[in-house]
Amino acid sequence: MNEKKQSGTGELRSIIRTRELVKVYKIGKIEIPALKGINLDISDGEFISIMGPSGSGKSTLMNIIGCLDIPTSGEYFLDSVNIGKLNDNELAAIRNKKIGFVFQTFNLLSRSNVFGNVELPLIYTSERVKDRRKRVLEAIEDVGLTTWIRHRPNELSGGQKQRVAIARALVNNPSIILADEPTGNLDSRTGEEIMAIFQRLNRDGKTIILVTHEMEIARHTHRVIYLRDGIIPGEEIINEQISAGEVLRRMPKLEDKLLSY
Amino acid sequence: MKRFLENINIAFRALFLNKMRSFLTMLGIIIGVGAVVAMLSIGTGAQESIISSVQDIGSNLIIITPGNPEEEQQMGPQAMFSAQTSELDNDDLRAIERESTLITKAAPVIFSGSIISYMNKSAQTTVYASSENGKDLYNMDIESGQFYTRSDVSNSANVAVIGQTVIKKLFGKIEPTGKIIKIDGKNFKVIGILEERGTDSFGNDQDDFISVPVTTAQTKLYGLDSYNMILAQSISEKDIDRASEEIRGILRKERGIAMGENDDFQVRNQTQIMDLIGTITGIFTVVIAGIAGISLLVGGIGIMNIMLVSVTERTREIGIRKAIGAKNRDILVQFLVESIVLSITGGIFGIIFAVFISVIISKFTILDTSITVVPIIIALSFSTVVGLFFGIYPAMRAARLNPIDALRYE
Repeated sequence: MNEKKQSGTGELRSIIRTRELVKVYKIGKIEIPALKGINLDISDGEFISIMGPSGSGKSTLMNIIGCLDIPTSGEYFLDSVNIGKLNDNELAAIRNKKIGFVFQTFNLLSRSNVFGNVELPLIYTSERVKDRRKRVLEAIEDVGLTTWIRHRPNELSGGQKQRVAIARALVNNPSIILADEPTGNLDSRTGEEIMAIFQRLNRDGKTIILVTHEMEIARHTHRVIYLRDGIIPGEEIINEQISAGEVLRRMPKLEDKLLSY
Repeated sequence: MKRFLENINIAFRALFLNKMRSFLTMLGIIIGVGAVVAMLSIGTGAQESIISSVQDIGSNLIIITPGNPEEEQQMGPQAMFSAQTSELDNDDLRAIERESTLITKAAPVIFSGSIISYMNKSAQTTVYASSENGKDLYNMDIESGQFYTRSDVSNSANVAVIGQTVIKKLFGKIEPTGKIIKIDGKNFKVIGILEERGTDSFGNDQDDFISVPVTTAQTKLYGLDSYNMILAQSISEKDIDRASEEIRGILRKERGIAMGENDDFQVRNQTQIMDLIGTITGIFTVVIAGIAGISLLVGGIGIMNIMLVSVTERTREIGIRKAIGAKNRDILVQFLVESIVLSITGGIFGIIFAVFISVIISKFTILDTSITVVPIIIALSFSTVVGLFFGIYPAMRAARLNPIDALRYE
């Protein structure tokens, strides 16, 4: 159903398209299939989530979509580029230009401050230093951390760290943002705040792929793709997405709670 | 270029974060480079002062001594007696003066330790007897009074010129010129005072001597008719080897040495002495280079060790960088720059350390030191090469890490 919708019209361009994607890990002589033929289409501007238990091939799929790994067989097109045929350096360049990563454990450089962390992807481009600075400042402002710009990650809260990671993912203006359990290490309120940022970015036109095992989080997105034993048994269109902004408004603030005691 | 500067910046920050570790790693290089530069500065200083003291003796000097050292070695102790027969005497000196075309002047020399005294004071010193030519050949400049003249020499006059140290020993504040002193009990009149010459590179006092006419020394002091050596000066530096050969020919003829027989005297010149010094300091340099090589090797292994630790520690950082778009080459350069920065910084500290050491040595010991640019450049480029060589393996390990595994690394 979905596929028809995308391929038919020109207005919804497919930004990710996989065909019969297979990944087999070889440990000694034993072959372990992690993905057994994945067909996936994600349109430009979509906000989808991938759900599945551990061992379902979720991480493998993430790694391939994130161009950190290549499939054993099958095809993967990212923004019309065939990823399966690229070498290490070309993959690195694709990751740099087209993908913004947000990890569960934030993965910030502890020695660098907020500015340095957000600047990191630009170091590996040929961007001029002057333009760089402007873009870094914009990305930091976008996640509301302008006052924390000279602080190191260890001086920030979990939510702030994740916002730095989002700014870093945004700074190169990538085709997709790939978020792997971005709320997994956060309390529910902070997680909701992060989801609010993602929803806002999506409204502004960003394509976001979110990996999660929480249905509650997945219901913030347009479409949930289920993954089990290396195949996609089905997917679900979320008609009424949870609005993170709405949830936050309903949530009692910490100060209110303290006042009520 | 911009990315290279960025890498240097990253490297400095990484090294600064582990100050103690970075310093200890650098210590190997610091000591290696420091030792080399300091030792070479001592070596160069010693060489310079030896050369200058050889030149102080007089320029373009040819030294003729009796006996053939090779023959004496072969013949053993008997040669000591036979050497008596091969003494240099006035006939040899006259022959050289008469026949040589390539020398400006020649002078005989007798030197001997003697007791000298004035009033109730006495001292041990060297009597250095020569002719009026000895003044120029041995760089004896007169501060006041005069040197003995040709007629003093031909008359065997009892006159003496004295060095500064002898003045201090015998006269103190008294003006010595015109006073009568005793050398081995004989009276001599002081007619001149010599300029101070300082100490040579071996620490010998070059002012502790007294000079008298050679004829006086022969007849009135030591009862000799021979000389300890004859000094001659060639007309120019480039003619010195030819002049030496000419003198050799003159002496062989004068002393009636048949064809095929060995010389019973030796003619040396300053060029040969300089060559000998060059050979000795060359060996010294090779030995130092060996020590330097070993210490830099050890320092390099230290760098490699710490870089491997650093790569392991920062596996996750490498994963992050690669996920975000760093190519293998970027990671390689980052770690390589870090090890080179480590070794060059060590090298610079080493040079500072060496300068410090050599200043202290020249201040507080008799050794002269001389810091020259060449060993500094060599030491610095060598330490860069060490950083590059021992950094390449850890850097390659870092560059080859798989980003997925690196990101998962705890």
